[in-house]
Amino acid sequence: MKKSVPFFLNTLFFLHIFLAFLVVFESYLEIPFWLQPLGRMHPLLLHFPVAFIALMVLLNLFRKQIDTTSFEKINYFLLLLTAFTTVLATIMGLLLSLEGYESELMTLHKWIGIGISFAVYAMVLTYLHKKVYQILLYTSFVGVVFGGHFGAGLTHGSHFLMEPITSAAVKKMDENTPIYTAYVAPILEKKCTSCHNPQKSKGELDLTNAESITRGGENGEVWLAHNPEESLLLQRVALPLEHEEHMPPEGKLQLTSREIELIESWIAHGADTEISYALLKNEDRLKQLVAENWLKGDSEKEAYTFDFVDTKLIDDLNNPYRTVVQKSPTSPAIEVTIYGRSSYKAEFLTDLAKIKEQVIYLNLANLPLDDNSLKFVGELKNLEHLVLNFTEVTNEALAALVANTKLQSLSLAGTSVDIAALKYLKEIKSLKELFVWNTQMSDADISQLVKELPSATINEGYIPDPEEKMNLTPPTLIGERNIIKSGDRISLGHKMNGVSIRYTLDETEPNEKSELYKSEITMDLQGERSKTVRAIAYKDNWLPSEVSTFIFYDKGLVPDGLEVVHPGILSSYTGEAARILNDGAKYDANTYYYSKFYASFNSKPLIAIADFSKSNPKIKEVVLSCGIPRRAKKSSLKYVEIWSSNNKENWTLLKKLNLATELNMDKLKDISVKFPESTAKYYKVVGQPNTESTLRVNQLFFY
Amino acid sequence: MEKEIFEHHLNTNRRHFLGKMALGFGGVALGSLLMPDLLSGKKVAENQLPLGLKHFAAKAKRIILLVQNGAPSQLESFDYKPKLNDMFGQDLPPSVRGDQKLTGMTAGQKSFPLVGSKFGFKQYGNAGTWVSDLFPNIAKITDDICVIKSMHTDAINHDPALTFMQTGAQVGNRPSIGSWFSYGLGSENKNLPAYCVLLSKGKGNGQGVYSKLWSNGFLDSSHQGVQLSASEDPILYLNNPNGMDSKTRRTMLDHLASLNQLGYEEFGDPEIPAKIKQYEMAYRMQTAVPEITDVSKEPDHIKKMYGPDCMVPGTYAANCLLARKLSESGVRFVQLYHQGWDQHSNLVGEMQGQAKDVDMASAALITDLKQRGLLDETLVIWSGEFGRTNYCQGKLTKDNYGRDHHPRCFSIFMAGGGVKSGISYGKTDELGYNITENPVHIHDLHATIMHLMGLDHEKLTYKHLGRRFRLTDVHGHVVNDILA
Repeated sequence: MKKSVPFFLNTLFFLHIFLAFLVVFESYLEIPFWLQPLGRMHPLLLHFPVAFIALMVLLNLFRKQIDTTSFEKINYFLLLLTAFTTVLATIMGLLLSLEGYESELMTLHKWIGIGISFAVYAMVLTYLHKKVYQILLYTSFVGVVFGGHFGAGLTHGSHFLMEPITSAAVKKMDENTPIYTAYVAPILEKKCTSCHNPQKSKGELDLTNAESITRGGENGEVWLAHNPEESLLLQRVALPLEHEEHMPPEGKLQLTSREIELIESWIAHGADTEISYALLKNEDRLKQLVAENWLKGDSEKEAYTFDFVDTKLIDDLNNPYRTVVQKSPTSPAIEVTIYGRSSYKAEFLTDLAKIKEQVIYLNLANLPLDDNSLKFVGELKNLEHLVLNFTEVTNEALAALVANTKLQSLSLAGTSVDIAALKYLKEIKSLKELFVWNTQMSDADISQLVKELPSATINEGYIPDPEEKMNLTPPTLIGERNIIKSGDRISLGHKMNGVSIRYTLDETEPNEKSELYKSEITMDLQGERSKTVRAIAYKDNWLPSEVSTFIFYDKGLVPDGLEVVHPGILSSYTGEAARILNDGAKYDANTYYYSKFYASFNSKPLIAIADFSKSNPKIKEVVLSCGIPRRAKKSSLKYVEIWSSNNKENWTLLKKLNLATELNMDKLKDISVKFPESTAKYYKVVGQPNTESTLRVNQLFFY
Repeated sequence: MEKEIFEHHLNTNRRHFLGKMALGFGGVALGSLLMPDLLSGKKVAENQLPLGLKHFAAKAKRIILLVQNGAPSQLESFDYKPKLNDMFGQDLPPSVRGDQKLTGMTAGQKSFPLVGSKFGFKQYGNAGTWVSDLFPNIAKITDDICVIKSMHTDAINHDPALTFMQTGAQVGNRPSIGSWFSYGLGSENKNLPAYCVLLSKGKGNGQGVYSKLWSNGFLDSSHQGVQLSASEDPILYLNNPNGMDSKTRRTMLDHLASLNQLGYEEFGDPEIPAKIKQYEMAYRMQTAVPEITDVSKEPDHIKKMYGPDCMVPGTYAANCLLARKLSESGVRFVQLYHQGWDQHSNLVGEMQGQAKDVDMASAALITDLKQRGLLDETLVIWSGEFGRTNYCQGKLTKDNYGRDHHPRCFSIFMAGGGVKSGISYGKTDELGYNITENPVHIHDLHATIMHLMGLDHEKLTYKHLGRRFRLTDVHGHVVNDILA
């Protein structure tokens, strides 16, 4: 004993300095998660000091019955033990409080606890001054009684102690509860009565009960029935926040507009403290307001009785195709979504057996589910929200969901269920929302659902107006190449299923009687340089599309190779003339002149050498397909020259066209250079851009 | 016993005293361990919650933000001001204008003739929401939306205003709002990016959009928005090249990852693990994306609902449909931009075209989410970057006019995701120039959106350049009145 006294004293000193430090710097503290269990041991430890202090009081009351030496020994030892457990419990409590329990009750409990801790330590220090010691002891005891009561209030709720007695008086809120009792009084209690109560009646006003409210305060009556504009309460609330007379004062919890709206319409209705929802008429604004904003809100309160799942388990259950999240850090409820039709495995669902109790939200949309999957879903007894959109779920599979007694929202959009499912849906008594858009249910089926599921909202979704017809979008060409030779096949397409495409090849407007497009069109140029395909799309219940026109150009003779002397430019970068001039795609002269589909030349000319040394065909024409800026007024080309050679060294000029002064822009789109038939091995095409102009060529043709 | 205690007290000498003081300092030292920044002189760390977790239960799981780029006029959409029609051609009273700075485009104008909407307005739905005749389809769903007429912003030109709307700051290099959600909540579907961006263009006078608007700023680059293109390959270079099968790709990625890991061990660059993660996601996206972007399986009447344009890639309607598919598949934040709303002149003509582009598809998106039971968990926001003036820019004629930029008030609407439906919030004065009731600043909008997604806008921070950044900087209040 003798030896342990200094140890105890030193430890106590150390712990109290530590406590004092924590108290002073409380708002700066950051509790690492690994210290949190220490805080949570507070409820475990606090019973020791409570019992010890009570024991000391008893011991001191009956000290006469004990011999002095024993008493002193026991008493001092007990005191040290008390001081030690008190300070520990207080430090732990303080750590626990930092996890975020903010309330008035908390503040009271905290300061009483800290007070007791220092009082008991003071008892240790003043042990020899019996009078001080006695006073401190009894004060601490009173502190323990109150501190303990407030602490119990924190964990069990402030009405815990008297609840069995008072609860008989608290009526259940329903449609017959007066609006005042159900909604108005609680607002006042939450936002006003901390200052306007019988004990602390600021402005001589007490807002805790209907009678004292009718009495009013020093500024008169609180409200005037039927006259919200003249009601003092609403006037004060409506003042700007910084106004001196604004209520509640700046810094206190303010009324929300929802609350103001309710009080306002309740006063407008007559400020009747007895009127209840059931007694209001349908057209009363107050009734509508309560129905929309207040009745609903009440029923949605949720409290889960099941336990939290280990976060490690949640982490393990997450994978790239399954997202498992806790609803919030303070709620044990879990929400699960599974993704990816092609990657789906049945285990993705059945793995959830480990958290069966906690799953309240499950989204299985678009997954290939079988009936067994739903049997598993039926085992999730706390499930509230289930999404089965566009799954293979059947009527019979829904039988399993009858076991989901908490299910409130069920989405069946895009499934094949029909009205036969009603017999199971009727059994899900908790159901509040049902989504049946795009199922096999007819309008009549849906009215039957509405009738037989009165407590659920049935959402049938968008119903297209059969009268309303819209234009289809025009058919599109699949693939971008439009340079062909006879015998090539082309494909048309449409994004919408079930569309029939009709087309013509003779430039006439296609109609219902035109050729029906099947899979491909085999093109025959019939000696022409180009061929036009015109196509239109038809579908039942839709208006026909606009006609789309696709022009295909004769490929002509293809050189074995094409090289350019200058690569050209692409905006401010180096171009890719060699590839572009020979890429098999020709673009509309106006639309694409600026783009990367054109080989462009300004300071340096186009000089392209085509190699026909292997095929060695007869050639008598070269066509340059050019791009023309939309508002161009002058030719961008000074001249074109076609040269021929058999060895790429000695070139013979076949033809030169001067175009510097050409003003007809249409003639500049496809520039044809004809010359006497030649069988040379190489041809050189030179295009000299006009002064300060950019020449744009997208394809070279040889015929 | 008393004697012993007395002796103990008597024996307290200098040595004991110092010894005891040491204990006291020990207590202080232990306490200071719980305050990492106290003694280092740095600002105290905020109570930061782990990332990837909501701060509290969320109403919305996902967001679709429909950016009407260029700033559509509130006076021809949702903010009905008949007084302006009565005062046609009269000058805007200077008292109303106050000290509002003007853009260079109208600052030199000699007069500011008021002009009312050329298009009629009607009231719709249970709440009697005013909607102009330009938006007949949005008018049909007013019971599902919350119109805010009292939005205001700080910037007066497109780039700063759009940047502000997107990042909470007018200057660049801050993370975009979608990036903040990706950072704060992570991805819902790990096979897809958490933040996707889709662009479309109307015929009206347009303003540029650029990738800085969906940039991750100083956050990890895995949080940046992924732009989906309108071509056959919505995500460029996602398909395996010819000759590369899925198995070879897997082997290649495994080896690449081990090389990257070596690089990381040597240099410790945090971008390396980000890169490894992105390669892995891209691999999974190879199967996930084609499933989503294939609209051919959509029922026919869906196509009627969004309008036939939804079959033409790159249109607003197609993007709305794609947005629904992405969102439904767990993309946390989908953002659409529709360009062409900058009506400085020819407002009457251009706005009709713009409205036609977006009206049907915007309404369809909301209805479509609703009929799938997803509207409650998806927040849809339709908004420009600021409003337009109540006076005419340029020549005012009976049939046509233009409107300049106006940051003091504009209208947006929101739907689903825990927002009250069927209400109009906030009011402007009868000339539609200043807000008279319930102003909502861009920072407030951000705070509210974050709240709906289960995040406290004051707690989601990122430390960069020596200070903690937030989306709402040091501002923002949650607009409690519009929460359902």
